[in-house]
Amino acid sequence: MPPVAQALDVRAADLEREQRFYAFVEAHQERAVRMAWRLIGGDHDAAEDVAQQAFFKAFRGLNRFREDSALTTWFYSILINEARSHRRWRALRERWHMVPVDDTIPDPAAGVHPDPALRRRLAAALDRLARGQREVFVLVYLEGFTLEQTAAQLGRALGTIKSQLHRALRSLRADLADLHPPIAQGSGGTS
Amino acid sequence: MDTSDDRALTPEDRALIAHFQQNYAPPPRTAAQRLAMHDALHARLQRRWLPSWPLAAAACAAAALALWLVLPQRPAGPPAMASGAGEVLVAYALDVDATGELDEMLPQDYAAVEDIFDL
Repeated sequence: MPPVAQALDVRAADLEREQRFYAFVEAHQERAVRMAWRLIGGDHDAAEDVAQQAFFKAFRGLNRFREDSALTTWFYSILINEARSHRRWRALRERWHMVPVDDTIPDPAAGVHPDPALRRRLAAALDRLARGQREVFVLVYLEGFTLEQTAAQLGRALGTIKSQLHRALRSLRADLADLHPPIAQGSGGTS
Repeated sequence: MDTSDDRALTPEDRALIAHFQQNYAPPPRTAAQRLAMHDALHARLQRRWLPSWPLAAAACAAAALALWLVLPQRPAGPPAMASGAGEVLVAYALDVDATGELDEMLPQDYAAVEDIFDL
């Protein structure tokens, strides 16, 4: 192939790749930002940053995944990792400054929520869970991923996902027992 | 809720999850936020090749500057001559040929040429 034709071919492939990427961003950005928001504890700006970073990293792997389902699984794995990194950095900053860095204070979402206090209470309860339990709870019960999808995204066995879900529910029920009567009733439940 | 674990959920579990779904979610994003993310990603994609050539150019410039600063300055006057050549030239200038010392001072190749023409 002549060099000019080869260069045009590469450029066309680049354009196709970018178009596919923007379509992917369009299809997933709402869920990505919402999931990041829930995983990192309700900081909107940080959630946008985490999602953006995950999209940018996913762009590099577009050629590796021809099927959108594989690409989606891979993308959400990246997003989960980015959210973990954010939490680690935040914990480090808190330790360094010796005071909690409350990222939720400047969150514009707080003013829009019907009950900001309840939101903070729920965020704190999630924050007290072990990392694996928190992630599994968010992915399955809040984001609606299936157990199989969650296992693939987290790289864990299905049985591990189930047991973490069970433990997460048990801990949250105990932690939020005083929050609302329907939760308090029969909280001994399914053990 | 579409999970294969639904059979394990009690009504209390469902109420708890509903609490989270209703109260632990960000507000819907605005069109401006969506556009901002699109623009930011577009800018990053356009920048992804940029770091190579400016960095290389900057590195070359820095190396050239370092060489210019580190290498010794060139002398302002003419270069020093080799000692042997200087002596020959001095001998010519002083016309020492008359004493017969010049032949001995000439380099071998010059002497050979001299023999051919039998000067």
